[in-house]
Amino acid sequence: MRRTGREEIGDPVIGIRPSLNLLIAGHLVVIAPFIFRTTLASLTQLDPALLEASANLGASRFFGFRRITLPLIAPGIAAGCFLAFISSMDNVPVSLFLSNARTGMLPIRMWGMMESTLDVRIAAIAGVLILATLILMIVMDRLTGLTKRISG
Amino acid sequence: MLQVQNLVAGYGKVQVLHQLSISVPKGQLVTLIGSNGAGKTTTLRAISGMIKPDAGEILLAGRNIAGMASHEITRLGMAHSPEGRRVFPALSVDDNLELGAFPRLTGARPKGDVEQDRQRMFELFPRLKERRTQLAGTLSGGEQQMLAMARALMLGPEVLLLDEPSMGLAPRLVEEVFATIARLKAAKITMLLVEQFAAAALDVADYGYVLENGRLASSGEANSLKNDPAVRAAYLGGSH
Repeated sequence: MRRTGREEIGDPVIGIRPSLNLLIAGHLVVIAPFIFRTTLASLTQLDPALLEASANLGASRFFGFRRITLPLIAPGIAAGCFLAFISSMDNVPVSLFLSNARTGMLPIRMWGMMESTLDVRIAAIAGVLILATLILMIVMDRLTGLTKRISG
Repeated sequence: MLQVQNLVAGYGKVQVLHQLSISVPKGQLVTLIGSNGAGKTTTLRAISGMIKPDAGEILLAGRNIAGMASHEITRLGMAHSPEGRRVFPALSVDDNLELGAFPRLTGARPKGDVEQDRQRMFELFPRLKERRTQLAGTLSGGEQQMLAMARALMLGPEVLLLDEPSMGLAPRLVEEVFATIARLKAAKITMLLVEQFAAAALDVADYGYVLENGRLASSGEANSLKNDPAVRAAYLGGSH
């Protein structure tokens, strides 16, 4: 396609049209490191002797993964998911470039609202977001026990 | 019952065992003695599949198990009481014993009567009975060793591998552990015992192998090994 220099957001970029799939792919790229890092951190803390012991007592590799590895690294995976959710939720740049008219992303909508009709709805959404994040944080702390570990 | 032929094993590029051959006949207690780093623990780890042998055969009741996965070897009846005991500290004595019987409970091994075997363990190790509901981490070192052996026996094993049961125990407890091993021997359990405490091991064993740098230095009936001047000088603390 010939570039006219007057393309607008939503026009096809390098032949790819913004779509829901592209948006999901974009967000995956942004959030993957969060989940990788936290999962890796809990995997390195996993005592390999536990898996050895389970094999030694007759548990297959899959059983050992399901009943030992997974439960022990679950808090790490959950923490990664939490971070990923937050960063995906309030991500503006990726959403801005990859969403189209059908995939209205919350931050983009909010931005639009602020620019056109700034009203109390924005405050309401922001309030709900802050509250939801707070609740998630408390839930995460209960699950992973960070406060408990810090206070000994 | 258990035959190791020309076993070569090691960690990565470091070869620890060089063409090691040992044999454990059914119902006998065979001991493997030698100094630190001779390859005793490595031998047991290779037999129970925790490291893959590089060459050689390991025959359990005539079947080659070299290279099989650890859990498959366990299901064929190889019980391993590991170095340093390794009981599950946060689980009760009862639960530790139940984990030992895990392949039987899942049907990977003939089930038999698990509860009766548990009672048998309490007869063999009366101290464990008193502490049934106690967490394994709160047991003394000697009691943990008893538990590690009982847990391995809960498999209903063909062969029991004992790795340094006397490690880190007070002399009085070491005596107790060896008295227990003598009781297991009287019960006709086939055992391969790895020990640094050579004198005590040769006292209870039928047959002994002396390992030096991953090779057999000598072997023979436990009684004759005990009187072998070279073995006495190297492992039994001189000429007394």
